[in-house]
Amino acid sequence: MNDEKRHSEILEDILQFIYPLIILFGMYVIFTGISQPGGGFQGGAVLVAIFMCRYLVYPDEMRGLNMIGKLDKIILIFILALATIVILTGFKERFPFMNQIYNMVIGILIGAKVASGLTVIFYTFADIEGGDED
Amino acid sequence: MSKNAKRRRIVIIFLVLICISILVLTNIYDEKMTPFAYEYYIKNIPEEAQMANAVTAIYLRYRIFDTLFEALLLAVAVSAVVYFAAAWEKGTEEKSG
Repeated sequence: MNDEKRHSEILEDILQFIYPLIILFGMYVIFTGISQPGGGFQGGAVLVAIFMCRYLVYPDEMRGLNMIGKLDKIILIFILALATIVILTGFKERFPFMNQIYNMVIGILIGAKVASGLTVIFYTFADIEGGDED
Repeated sequence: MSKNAKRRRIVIIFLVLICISILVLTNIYDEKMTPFAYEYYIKNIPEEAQMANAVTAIYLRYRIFDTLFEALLLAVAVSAVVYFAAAWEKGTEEKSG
């Protein structure tokens, strides 16, 4: 199937309106995860919807997938390093006022990790399936 | 009946038997546990973890290793998907070419 057939202007216009709402909702779920239902994993999964919507509009444009894959690994290293430092140094007991900041940072990192990881998985499968159609 | 079909049938019977035995055993031995972990978390989370959300306190403090290895597992899953996708594409190219 060629790109012209799959491209829909109606879909594009609607998704341009929905993009900010998805970002807002994803960020809301991540940031309020500390005190309310939500968290990094759930917020990250919501943020992947942006890339899924983008795939619906531009199925052949998958630029930056390698970069997202690298970003995924870098974020994982950050998460592991941060959590290890906090656990090993007894950071939470020494600086209790930093607890909220630590929770917020690790929540954001987990959200970014889940979003980037699921994006790579989604685009890889989409690439295989899309390849079969042509 | 071919050897594979026979083997498949044995595996299905074995799995069905396991499922039935699990259902029967869980109904016979209805174990009642005291919810000490639940009570501990409810009592101590506000002081120890200083968080309003008990679920976040559990996955970011009490079970941080679970969270870390979950993140690691996701990274392994991503690498595996990318690796197998590349191998699969290479295989299909070789077949067609």
